[in-house]
Amino acid sequence: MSYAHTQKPAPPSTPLKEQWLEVGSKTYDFLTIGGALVLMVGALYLGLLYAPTERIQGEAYRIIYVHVPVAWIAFLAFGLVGVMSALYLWKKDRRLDIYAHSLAEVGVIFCTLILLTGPIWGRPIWGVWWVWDMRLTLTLLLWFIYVGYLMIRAQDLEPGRKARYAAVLGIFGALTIPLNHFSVQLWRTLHPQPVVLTERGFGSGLTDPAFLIALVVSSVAFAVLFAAVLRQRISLEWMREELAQLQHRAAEGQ
Amino acid sequence: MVELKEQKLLRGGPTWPRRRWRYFAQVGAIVWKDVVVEYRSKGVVITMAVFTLLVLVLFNFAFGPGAGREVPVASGILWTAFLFAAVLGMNHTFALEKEGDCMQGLLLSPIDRSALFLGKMVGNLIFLLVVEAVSLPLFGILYNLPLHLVVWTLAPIVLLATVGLGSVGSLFASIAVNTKAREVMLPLLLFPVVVPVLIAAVRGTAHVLAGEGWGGDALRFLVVYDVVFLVASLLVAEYVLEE
Repeated sequence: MSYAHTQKPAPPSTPLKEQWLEVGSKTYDFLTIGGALVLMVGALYLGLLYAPTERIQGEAYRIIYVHVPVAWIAFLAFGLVGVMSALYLWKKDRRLDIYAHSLAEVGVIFCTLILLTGPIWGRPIWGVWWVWDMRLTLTLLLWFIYVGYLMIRAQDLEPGRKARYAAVLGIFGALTIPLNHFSVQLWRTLHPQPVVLTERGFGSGLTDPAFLIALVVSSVAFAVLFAAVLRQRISLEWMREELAQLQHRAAEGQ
Repeated sequence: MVELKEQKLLRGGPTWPRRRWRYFAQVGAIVWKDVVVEYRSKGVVITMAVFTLLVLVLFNFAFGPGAGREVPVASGILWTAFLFAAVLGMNHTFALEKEGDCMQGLLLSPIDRSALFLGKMVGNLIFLLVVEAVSLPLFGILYNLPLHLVVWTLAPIVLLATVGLGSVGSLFASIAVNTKAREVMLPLLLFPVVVPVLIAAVRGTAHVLAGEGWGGDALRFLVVYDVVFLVASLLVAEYVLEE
């Protein structure tokens, strides 16, 4: 994959190392990777030991401390892919394209985690691994949309054109997220109703504050993990870009 | 006072109503070209219609002869057939432009990119609607459904769902046609995005076929979907059709 012929090859004078999200910045690495580790251990303790057992679902409910944060972050990532894609079409900045690509990849991983943790909970509670409920179905569709996005990314196309196609797909994928919510409201759903962000106020659906504390900590833990993984992914893409530029320059020099 | 030609040019060309008229003339020219090509070659519409019919027959074998009696199953069969036919047709109309670098020629002509896209899209919509108009009575006959419902009452749902299908489909077809695996790429990209249309269309159709009228939810959902994706496709069309 070479980006040597894109619209804006960074001139040699641009110091790539100074851009904190792309390459370098040990502090960011240390804070995100270390922070994710510490917070994950804390979230495990809070989720498995500190939070009380739920009255009806028993121990099985504890998977929400993974399922819910992961779902929030996946949807955030996909929404951001849409924003970055729209900005890319407007500004034509290579960095925005790289951000969108990396967000989509990490988003697909998190979305896969939603789809894996959901059935583990559904089996004991609903008695089946999967139901064709609107919310489940549309999450699965979202997964398909962004897998399609990554497939366009893997196509052998001229880089500038590929970036534009991917941006269009990213925007359309993000547009289906609100439609997703519309259709959940229109057609009934088996999926549990929201308990944290409800119209009655933050956390009002949870009866014990310990539930909320555990959920908030695990959300922060997954958010920091997301930040760590995302930066590594962006860094990787940036190094590929640099390599392609160097190869291009070396080929020209001979 | 008579305005000189040069003065007009300095003001930035023709005035708004004139420009709008020119835009629609451009769209019309593209649609006309596609319709004439289709009228002379008869490549897309007949293939799509026969294919739709074949899928309707195939599903009858797959589900057994009693399948059509259950209205939700019948409407699901109908929309699956239309979706498959639409993918075939839209792939074909864009593949035609790829042959002999016709797309290059179209892009070189002094036409607005969104007008070019809108023209291609309207052409696709016309073909889809013709195919649907032909297959709906046949569907009614094959599945023993009341014909006045299938042909008349169903019309708004068919129209709205086709617009949603055709707008996203045309945009994605113009992307997929440039990839190596174009036949597979289009359904892969398109199906997950148009599933909301499929669901709404099937629900609405089932409502109509059960003799309960349109079922307002489905119609409203289709209107929202159409507006959102029609506007979005027109906005991004210039980036997809760029060379």
